[in-house]
Amino acid sequence: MTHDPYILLGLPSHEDLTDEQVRQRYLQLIREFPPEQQPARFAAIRAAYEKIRTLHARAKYRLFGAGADETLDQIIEEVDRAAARPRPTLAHLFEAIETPKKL
Amino acid sequence: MAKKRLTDMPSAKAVKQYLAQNKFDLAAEEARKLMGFAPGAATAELLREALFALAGSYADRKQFADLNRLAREIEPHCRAAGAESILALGRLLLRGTQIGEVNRLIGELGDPEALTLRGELADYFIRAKHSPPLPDEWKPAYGAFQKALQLYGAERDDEARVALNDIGLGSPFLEWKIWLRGLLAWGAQDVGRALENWSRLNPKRLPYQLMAPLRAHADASWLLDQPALRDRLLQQYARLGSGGLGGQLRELRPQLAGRTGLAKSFKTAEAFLPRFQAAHPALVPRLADVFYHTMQRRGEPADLERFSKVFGRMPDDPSFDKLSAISFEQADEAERALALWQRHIDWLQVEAKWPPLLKRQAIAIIFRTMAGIVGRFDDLDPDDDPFDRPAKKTKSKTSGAAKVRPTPVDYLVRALEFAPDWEIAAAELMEASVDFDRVVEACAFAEQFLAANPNAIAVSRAYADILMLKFDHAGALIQLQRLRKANPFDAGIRNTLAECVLHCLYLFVRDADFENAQNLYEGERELLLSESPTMTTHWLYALYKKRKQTAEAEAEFRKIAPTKPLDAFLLVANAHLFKAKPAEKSAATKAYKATLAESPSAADTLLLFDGYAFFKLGGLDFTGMKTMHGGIVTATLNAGGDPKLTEHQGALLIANTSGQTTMPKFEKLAQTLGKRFPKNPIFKLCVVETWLAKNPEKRVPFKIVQLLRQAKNLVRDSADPKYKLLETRIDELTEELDPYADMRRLFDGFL
Repeated sequence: MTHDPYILLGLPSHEDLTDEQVRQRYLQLIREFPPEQQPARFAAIRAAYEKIRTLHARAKYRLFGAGADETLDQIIEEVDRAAARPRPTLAHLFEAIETPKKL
Repeated sequence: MAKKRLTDMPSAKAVKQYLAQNKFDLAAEEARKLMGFAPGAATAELLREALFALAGSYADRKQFADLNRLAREIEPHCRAAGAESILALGRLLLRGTQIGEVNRLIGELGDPEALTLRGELADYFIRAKHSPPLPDEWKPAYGAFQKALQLYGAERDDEARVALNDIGLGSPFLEWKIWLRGLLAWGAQDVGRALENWSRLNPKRLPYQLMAPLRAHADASWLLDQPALRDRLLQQYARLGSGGLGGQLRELRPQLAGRTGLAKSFKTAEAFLPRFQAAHPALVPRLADVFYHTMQRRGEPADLERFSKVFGRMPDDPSFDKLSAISFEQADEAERALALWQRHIDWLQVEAKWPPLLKRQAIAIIFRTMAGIVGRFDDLDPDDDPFDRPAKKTKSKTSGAAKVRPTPVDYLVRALEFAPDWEIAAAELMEASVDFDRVVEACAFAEQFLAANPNAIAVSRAYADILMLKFDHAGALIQLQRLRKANPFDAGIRNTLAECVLHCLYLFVRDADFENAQNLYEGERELLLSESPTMTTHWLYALYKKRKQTAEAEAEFRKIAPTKPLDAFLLVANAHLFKAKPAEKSAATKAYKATLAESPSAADTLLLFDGYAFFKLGGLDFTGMKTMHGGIVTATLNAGGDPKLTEHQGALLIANTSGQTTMPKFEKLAQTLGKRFPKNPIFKLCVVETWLAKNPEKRVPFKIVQLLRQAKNLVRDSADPKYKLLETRIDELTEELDPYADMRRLFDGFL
């Protein structure tokens, strides 16, 4: 899952937003994903909101924070998830396991 | 004939030693000799072990001729040992591709060994790339399996299932039939049926290993039972799932996390990026982010070019000015960091396609960052007397010829041009203005800012502090009361407000403005009695005396305990402030000296220190006051011996005497506190600072270096944020004490 707060909150990053616009969107989302029902989603929304809740926070995020939370592991996870359940051939399976070792 | 020495004789111990050292040829040789010298069951077993080990090494090195020759030597020994041993020989022959020999052994073996070897031979045939030398009776089932496999590859799954029906229960390819049935179910997204089939597979056979990556992905409980294989299996699955991209990304993981340069990581990324771009275009910028931020932490100049080559330009930092500025800032290269930040601002202003308000705020943030850089490299001398802090001067002001470098004030002014309502920058501007002796401008700015932003708490607080320093306690009172209204439970605000109120009360009494004094006292009575009860009592005593209300004055006096250092000092201070008769001053001074002679406790000493600071900052000055200060410092330095001293009080004692680092008593205090509170890094750092202050030219002894290391470790291991503030100073000192620091820096890029 991306860490980009604009994507998480569904807000445009290419135009100026008011603090109130960000707040309203946050309130709308936490009504949609309340903490008692979707704790992980709520936590992600809350963290995203904290990153861009004020103009200062948004500018600071764009200058120093954008992409800083990105990790290789998340990208790998997305690549793995994006791949449909494979239908491997025998050769493909042999290639994947390389030198088979006894389990 | 010379007698054979005992040490020349073959021994089982030597065989085992050679085996342990992987010297299999020597082990086999020694075992053969031993067999000739002392034959027996144990020796035969050892010989077999050595020969199998040697044969295994031949197989690993693909020396099949040697392997097969050795297999012939092994066979008689295996026959003597039994079926298990013949099975092992069969496996060896299989590795040496001696299929005919394997078949012969299968014919000789009984079950279950024959079945096992048969199965493994079947695995060998399936794995063989070209038409394998199958026994005739195996050919129909092998053909059925190959046909089913081809049909599966063509996604003709139903026909594949039918083809598998030709493989019977007694076929050596039965295991493969079950495996392919599972794979057909998997391909049809019927994971339950796939797992059901695969759960019947023999873990010692190849089909089991081939289905393991898929099962690892779909069967969490099974995966839990394979902890040692977990990562490998998931990696294998990833290779299947993403055409190898997941695997290549995983290869990057150790490279990016390592301590060496990033050249190899860029090379790896460059190799798979075209495929990655085609398969996952949205993930490419995110991978670029990972590289960009890794470069920020531990990149080198050449990485900028490598990055551009692999990923192109970063949209928000196309010339890497921001990244370079941050790196230079981290390397304490202020001038270069400032120049690069300025270039980044220029880019933002001219080229960046950012939303306008966001852009202005970002520029303001950068100017504030630049103020911080300049401020850090022009820091105040920490040994300044806190009661006599001089205004900070820049080089540009003292040297006409020197290059004029903007001050933090200049940068903060620029920041506020772009973000006029930015409270934090405004408060910092005021503090920086005071540092640079621009108090009047700071006050004017505060008034202007607060008029536009009446709820700006940080500015109000900074303004109150400035007004207190200016002795404008009436002005500070307005700000502090406003702050308390906004935050009634803030202990810091309440404490400062109480101090400010007392200053105002003293001024009213001095000016005989009793009505205002009374009103202010009544209004702030609760605050005063909770925050400063002793000083309030003394003030009331002074008030009643001044108003000649003798009975009330005596009532207040009875509350005073002149044996306490603070009370005694306040009596002296009041006597001087309100110009008491010499006899009264003299008596108060005598009582005060007596309290100090009694070795006051740490708690009393700290209260005394605060009382003295209150009057000194309030502007009181009289003959003997400097001596009093010396006495208080001495009492503070001696208070380290108080058995009831707490760690917090110890830290305050150090803070109150931090200007006395060259005094032997300070060193003693730091050492005493260091021994008493060994987990506190402050005290260890103080011992180091003291030694350095006293011995600026001397070679640093090991014990000082060790103390600094201990302080660093304590800071590192502590969760207390206030200790983290010590890190910078510890790093500075560590570098200062390292005689090879310059050389190390020089070679940094090469190591």
